[in-house]
Amino acid sequence: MLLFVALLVGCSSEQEVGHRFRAEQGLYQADQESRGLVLRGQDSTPEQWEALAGTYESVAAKSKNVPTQTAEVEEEIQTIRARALFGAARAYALSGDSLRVAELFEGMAVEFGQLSAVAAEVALARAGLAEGRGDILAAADHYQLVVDTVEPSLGRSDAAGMVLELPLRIARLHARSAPEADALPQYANARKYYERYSEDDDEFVRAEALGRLAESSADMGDWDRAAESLNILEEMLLGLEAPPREPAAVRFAFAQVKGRAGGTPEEIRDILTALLEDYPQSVTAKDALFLLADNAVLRGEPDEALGHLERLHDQNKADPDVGSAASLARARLLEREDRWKDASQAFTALAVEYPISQAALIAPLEIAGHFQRVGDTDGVASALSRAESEYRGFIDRYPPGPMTLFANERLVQTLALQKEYDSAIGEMLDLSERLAGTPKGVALLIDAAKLAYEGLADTTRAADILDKAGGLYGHLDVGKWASNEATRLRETLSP
Amino acid sequence: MKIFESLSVASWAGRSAFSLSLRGNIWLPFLIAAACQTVALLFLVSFHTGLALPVALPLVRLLGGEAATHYPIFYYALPPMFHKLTIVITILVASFTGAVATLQFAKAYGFEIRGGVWGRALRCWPTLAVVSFVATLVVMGISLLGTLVPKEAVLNDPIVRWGVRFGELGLFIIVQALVAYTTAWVALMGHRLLPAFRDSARVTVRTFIPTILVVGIPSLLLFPFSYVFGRMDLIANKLRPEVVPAVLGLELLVTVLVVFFMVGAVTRLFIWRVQSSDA
Repeated sequence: MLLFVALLVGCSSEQEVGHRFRAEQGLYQADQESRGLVLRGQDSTPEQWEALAGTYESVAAKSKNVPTQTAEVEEEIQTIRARALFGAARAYALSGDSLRVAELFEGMAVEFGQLSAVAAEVALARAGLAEGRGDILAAADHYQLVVDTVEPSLGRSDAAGMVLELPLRIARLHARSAPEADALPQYANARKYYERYSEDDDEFVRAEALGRLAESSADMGDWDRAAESLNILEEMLLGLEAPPREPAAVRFAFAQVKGRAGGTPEEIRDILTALLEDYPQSVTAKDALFLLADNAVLRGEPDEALGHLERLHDQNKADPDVGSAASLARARLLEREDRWKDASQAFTALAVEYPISQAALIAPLEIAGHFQRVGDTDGVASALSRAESEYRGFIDRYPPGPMTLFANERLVQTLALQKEYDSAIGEMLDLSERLAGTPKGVALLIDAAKLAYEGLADTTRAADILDKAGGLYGHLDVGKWASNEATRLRETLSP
Repeated sequence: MKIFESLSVASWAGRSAFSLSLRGNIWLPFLIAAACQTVALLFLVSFHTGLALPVALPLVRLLGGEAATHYPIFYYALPPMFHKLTIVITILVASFTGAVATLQFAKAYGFEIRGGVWGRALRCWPTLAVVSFVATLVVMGISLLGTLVPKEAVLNDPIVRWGVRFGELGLFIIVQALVAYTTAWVALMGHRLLPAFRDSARVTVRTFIPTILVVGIPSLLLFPFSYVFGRMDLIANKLRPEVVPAVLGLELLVTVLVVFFMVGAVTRLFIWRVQSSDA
């Protein structure tokens, strides 16, 4: 009996563990529901997201003002409440209720001000929202709060994992907010921050800080300082067993800085050539060869440029992305150098060597572009007609996927160039249905409306398409804009 | 004993137990043990609620550690926590109810029992509790044998993994068979601890294949549950953690059915062997 009474007394203060358990349970179930909705993708409706937000909010409400005896459990319950409110904000955002999202974050900023980790996450989320609505100075202020609150810890997925990039972002936001305004104080702050961490004990933090220091200096036009930071960084990375980035990439950045600093093409060529000698097997070697080709063109050495592109192609035949891009760049250069016969062969060869590549799909339009430039109207017509049949053939031949989507977009472009506006609009509407719910889907509807208005002078059709966009994407700003634009267009039709 | 004769004896023992499956008084001891386990399970599952918390929370901490007081870790830790409680219930309660069941079966098979079944079982209880305790220690020892195999080999090689599982199961069946008749020796014949173990092993050796079948088939029927509990975190993640108590409840139900037939068949074999020796 005595033991029982002792247990009762001992555990009366442990009701908080029960509260915590139930809060964790509620949050887990809401997270599961959220995962289910994410998996359903397009099939999930704004109403479902709103209901889920309500579930998260009820979890948060139950975790509010829970009487606790121990600071540890209190913090755990607070963290659960914060996570539930984050979940609610995410769900409201997906339901399209941006006002409620802003309200939630404002409330969280006040409530969790003393919990630095949560406060930083809230500030990060608020900064993202502010950036989204174009309020970049407010975004910069929120980012600054993160910088002031959190110590960097690379490899983490929270605010501590990304805080190191924020001072530079803040400076760039200030520079963007009013180009004429002087963002130098923010850049100076960023540099001071990065200088501090470029001497950190953690070598990964040190490397990241040195990279950002170079970027800040480059943005400020302090090329010497940028180059110096990059040199130190490259040397440091060479001493690491598993460097967080390729030393070759740092050398490549050095070449770019040299270019922005007004270095001569010869100087940049020397840097890139040294890069290829020092790091021939690096991933960056491909970018260096591309840049070296551009550099040769700048120096008036097209044959040298062609040589670099051929080398790039030969070394990366098995990599369709790089190989086809090199071939396309070579064909374009040949065309620019008025070596049309070779260029034409190179464009045509792309479809044979890399049939399923973006470069091969771009080539037919490049051929039409050549005839356009030389003023050969018949050539343009026949090239566009060939391009149309090639795109249609490609779409028929291959299963739906990113490449057929790319071909569809080129087909729309071709039809518009052929002034086949009606067919182009039809293709755009089909494509927008396949991409329903994505930013590209709504952009296609707006473009189709524009083409109907400008190409066909069919205001009614343009308004109908905009109405469709408004109906499908009414929960987004762009959808609301489309509805207003449709109303405006209809008003112009009224007598 | 020849193989066909052994099969026929095992089948006869099983049929004998089955023929008594409608007798409520024989089911009662099994239901009492099951009720204790159900209460224990419900007690654990509701540890976070107001009424149970003062006693259940320290128990959860004791059996599963502090991590088990968190959701969903609690549900992943529930099977081992519940099985630890089951061991206690087996030693304290099932040793007694097992004796009652053995006496009831024996009476139904025509074995003469003087005095009341429950009173007699109560008198044997201390000895049977120790029998259960020793048997539990041996079974725990078997499960520890698996840990001698390098963990990496178990994780990476499915042959090693299944070899360990079936090796443990085989050993478990053999040990269970060797001690299968201890309850009968104590409850029916009034043996003390050591003679009960010795004579149980003797009966098992003399009735080896029927005993192995009568003990092994129920163990094989319960094996899927131990396999499922080994992967409970994955299964609970795919479905939901609250499925764990439901699976434990199902295991409990199947165990009651399986143990009923096992005790009935073992008692039948025991009486047959003892009576044929007397004759």
